[in-house]
Amino acid sequence: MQGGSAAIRRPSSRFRHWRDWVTAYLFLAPYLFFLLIFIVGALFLALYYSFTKYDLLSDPVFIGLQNYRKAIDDDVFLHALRNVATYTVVVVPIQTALALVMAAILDQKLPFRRFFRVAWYLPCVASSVVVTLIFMWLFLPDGFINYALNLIGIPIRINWLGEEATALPAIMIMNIWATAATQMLIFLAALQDVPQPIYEAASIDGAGPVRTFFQITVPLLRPAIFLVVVLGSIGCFQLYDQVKIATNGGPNDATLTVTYLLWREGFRDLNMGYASALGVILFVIIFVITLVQRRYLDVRPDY
Amino acid sequence: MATPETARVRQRAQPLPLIREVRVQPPRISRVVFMAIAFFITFLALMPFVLTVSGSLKTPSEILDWPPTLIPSVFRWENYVEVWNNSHYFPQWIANSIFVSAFHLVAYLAICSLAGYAFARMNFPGATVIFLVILGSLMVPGQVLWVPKFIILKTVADLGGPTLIDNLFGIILPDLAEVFGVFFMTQFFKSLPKELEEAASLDGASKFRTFWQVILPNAVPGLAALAILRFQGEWNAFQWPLIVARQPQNMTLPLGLASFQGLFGVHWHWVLAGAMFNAVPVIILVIFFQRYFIRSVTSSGVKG
Repeated sequence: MQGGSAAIRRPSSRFRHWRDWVTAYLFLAPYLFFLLIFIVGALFLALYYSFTKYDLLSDPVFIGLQNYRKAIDDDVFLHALRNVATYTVVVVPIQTALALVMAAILDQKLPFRRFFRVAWYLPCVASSVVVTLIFMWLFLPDGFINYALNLIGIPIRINWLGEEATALPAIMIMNIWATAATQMLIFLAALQDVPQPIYEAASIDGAGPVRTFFQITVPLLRPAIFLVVVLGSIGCFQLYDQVKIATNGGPNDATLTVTYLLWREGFRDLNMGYASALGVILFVIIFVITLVQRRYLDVRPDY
Repeated sequence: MATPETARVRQRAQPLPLIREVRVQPPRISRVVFMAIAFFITFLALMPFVLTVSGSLKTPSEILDWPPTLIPSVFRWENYVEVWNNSHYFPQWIANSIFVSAFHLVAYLAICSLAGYAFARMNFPGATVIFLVILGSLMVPGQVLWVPKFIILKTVADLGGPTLIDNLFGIILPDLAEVFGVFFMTQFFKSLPKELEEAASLDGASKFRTFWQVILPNAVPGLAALAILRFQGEWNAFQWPLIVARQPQNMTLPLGLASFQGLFGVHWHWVLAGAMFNAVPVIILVIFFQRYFIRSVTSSGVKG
């Protein structure tokens, strides 16, 4: 008897709420439509195409894991992966450290800090195309970068983006310039959450600003550092715009990246299946990097 | 008994603000060092822009000079006029970019605020699962979706639907799935006081009317912050438009500019003048709406 009444009560209470549920789903419907097609659906399609051979003209042919096997043996892909890894290992630490220093300086209540904040942030609002075009010009043999180096006593006139040894470093420099301030803002927000008494105690104990920074600020900011390192690594592994605009992966594949290869395979050579497999591999790599970094960096601060 | 108690509380409460005021300023020398570093960073951050402005005003021969000049010997304003007139599509690219950004922005704010409101204030089965899916898709790199999104748009046309490849709507529509806005608006609506709707629901207003007439007017700061961030993202977008747009008349300004350097080869005075048209609107926006900007960037943590 009791079980029966409970069974009856539940549907009736559901019935009372169904109007609310319909309303909620009506509010959600427009967004869900786009989410389900262009992200969730597209992701499953990418997975499906990665098991096929597909050139857009004839129907996709299922070929199992062949695309993945091809990727593992593909020297070009491995070379691209190496480039991107080098790029990440250099850029992420420099840009994180720079962003941290910038945030710590802005946190010092210096005069003109509002001006500094906007001025430092401006590189982040220019489009990747504008940044790349400007730096392509600055990096010319007769450009301002060589000129500045000459002024400080390094007499060189290199074609930065045109030479194998300097092309990737040149892209590193332009991207550090263009993104450090975004990460600075994350640190700045985190710094505002650090309890002020900690600093007061430190300065009463006679700790100078440098020691306070390394022994108090940095440890307390570990969660923010984790976030910045993860987002930075994800961004670095996706390096594309600057390569596409400035170097097309050259010279001699020196700036070839995974995403550029994905574009070339998919949209120049119409190997949609192989391009999808490269995309899935990129996704997995990024996912693993996030997990690994979480393991080592994401430690809650203890106040 | 109550009076001495409050007196004691007051006595204890008073010295506290004093302690806060004793905030020790860093010593003089380190402040000077910090200022010096700050000015140096400012120099590095602004110099490329300054050089771009100066380069965009140089004559074709002066821009190739060694050593490069900081201030143009003659200000050649014609560069801007020529960029506008000489490349057939430049005004078209600007019009396309304005259309794409404006259309995307209106549609995006509408669907994100609707969805955000549902997550913030309504109970419905599946809410947690859907929200987790949305959070999870923050992790998906956009490039993985290039191939399938392109094939979806192609299939729509093949099945007799509208042509979306090489069309501005092919740029706009897939970007509406952008995850961040829903997340942002959900957080924002959660921060609004619940009393807002309670009064409205006593009057018997429907959920949608409450949302439209009571909630949205109170959500202007959140909508503005999201709008500015998304405008920057869409106005500057490069990767997806590059895949969709084929013919020059269907390109947005960043795509056009990127094709520019191939088009004009070494004509850097035009390239730099063209770049100004792309950079200046966003820079003005940031300077005027800094507060909104910084707020939305901090909560997204990503460059748009």
